[in-house]
Amino acid sequence: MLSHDLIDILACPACKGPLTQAENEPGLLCHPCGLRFPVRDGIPVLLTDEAKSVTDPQTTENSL
Amino acid sequence: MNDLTSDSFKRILIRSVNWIGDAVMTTPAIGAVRERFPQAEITLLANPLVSQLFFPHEWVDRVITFDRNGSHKGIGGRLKLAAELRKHRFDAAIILPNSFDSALVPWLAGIPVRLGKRSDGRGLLLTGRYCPDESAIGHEVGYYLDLVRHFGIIGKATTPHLVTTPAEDRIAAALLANHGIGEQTFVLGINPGATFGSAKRWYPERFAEVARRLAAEWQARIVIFGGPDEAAIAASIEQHMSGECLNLAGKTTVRDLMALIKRCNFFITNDSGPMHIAAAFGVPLVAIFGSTDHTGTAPYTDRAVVVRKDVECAPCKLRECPTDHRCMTTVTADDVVAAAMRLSHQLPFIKATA
Repeated sequence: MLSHDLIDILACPACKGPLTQAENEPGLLCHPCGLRFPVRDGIPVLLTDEAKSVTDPQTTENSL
Repeated sequence: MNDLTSDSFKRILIRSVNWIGDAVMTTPAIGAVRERFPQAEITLLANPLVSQLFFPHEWVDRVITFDRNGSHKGIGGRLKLAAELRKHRFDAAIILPNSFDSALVPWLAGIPVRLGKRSDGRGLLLTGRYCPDESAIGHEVGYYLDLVRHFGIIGKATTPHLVTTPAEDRIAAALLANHGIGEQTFVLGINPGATFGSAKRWYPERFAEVARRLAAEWQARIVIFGGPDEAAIAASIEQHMSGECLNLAGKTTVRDLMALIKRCNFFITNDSGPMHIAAAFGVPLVAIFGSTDHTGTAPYTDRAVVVRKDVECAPCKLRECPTDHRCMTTVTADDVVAAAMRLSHQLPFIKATA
């Protein structure tokens, strides 16, 4: 798990918006972009090429 | 880290410090890394000014420049820089500055080994932490050597080291020759600025007086150095000297400055980056210290004299003096001329050159 202090200073490389900790597996989520960034060996890989699309309830709500 | 072998790391990133003078004082530590890992590719990550110091440098294979005020500004810029660094697949990062930011980027770049001082709340970003006794930290050269030594990185280099190319030396000589300063001319360099702030600066009229008196003593030609922001100070000295000098302030790159300072036979300076460049090239110098701590940043050479006065508020380490600047007002032109003469008598080659 990454500390909240660290997550607070990180940003999505696509939209520069805030990230949140994923719940089920190591990763960081950008809700507006619907992207999950992996965390490997305790280090977030904040590259859009490495991110996976996720279906996010908030993304869905925002798009309605 | 004591189980490191010479081939433990193939690709090493060294994150440089951010000021020219500090960067000069890190060179022995960089030399130790070079010696410890002779086969490794050593890349220095530095800002646009500092990167020039090391391009080229025999202990550094490659320089990557970052620009905190340009393309690497803000968190988006840091992510971009980290993505660029990630492509290089560095094995280890040696982080010389203390800031959180300087450790954040190597962490984001996925560099598996990250070594540096534990400071500024960045312990989590490092895999190897140096925790010095803060009360025992002496000169910066020793501090950076201790930092790398803590990780088992030891070398023979003990003094700052810079290089210029023969082509750069020729260009400097040609520039001086265009102003009637030949190869045999005694060149006295004057560096009246200090980028950090006005508190570190002695006074233009006193520099001018020292320059006039030493020029007469040594039959020397005066060259004034400085950055673009110091052009007004240099112009003031030029005016005080009735134009009897070559004013290069604001007209040189860092590389030009290095080659020109190296050519000087003597240097009079504030505590500044050019002071450390002169020290690294073994140019005899007198350094005027006021607001800064000479025990930590004095020129690291036995060819230097520091002129300073013991006043109760120094070293304050402030950029601007909040009171009457007594640490500098009490230093007279006589003090500096006397220091220069004393040093010249210890260095007989000065007279032989003149």
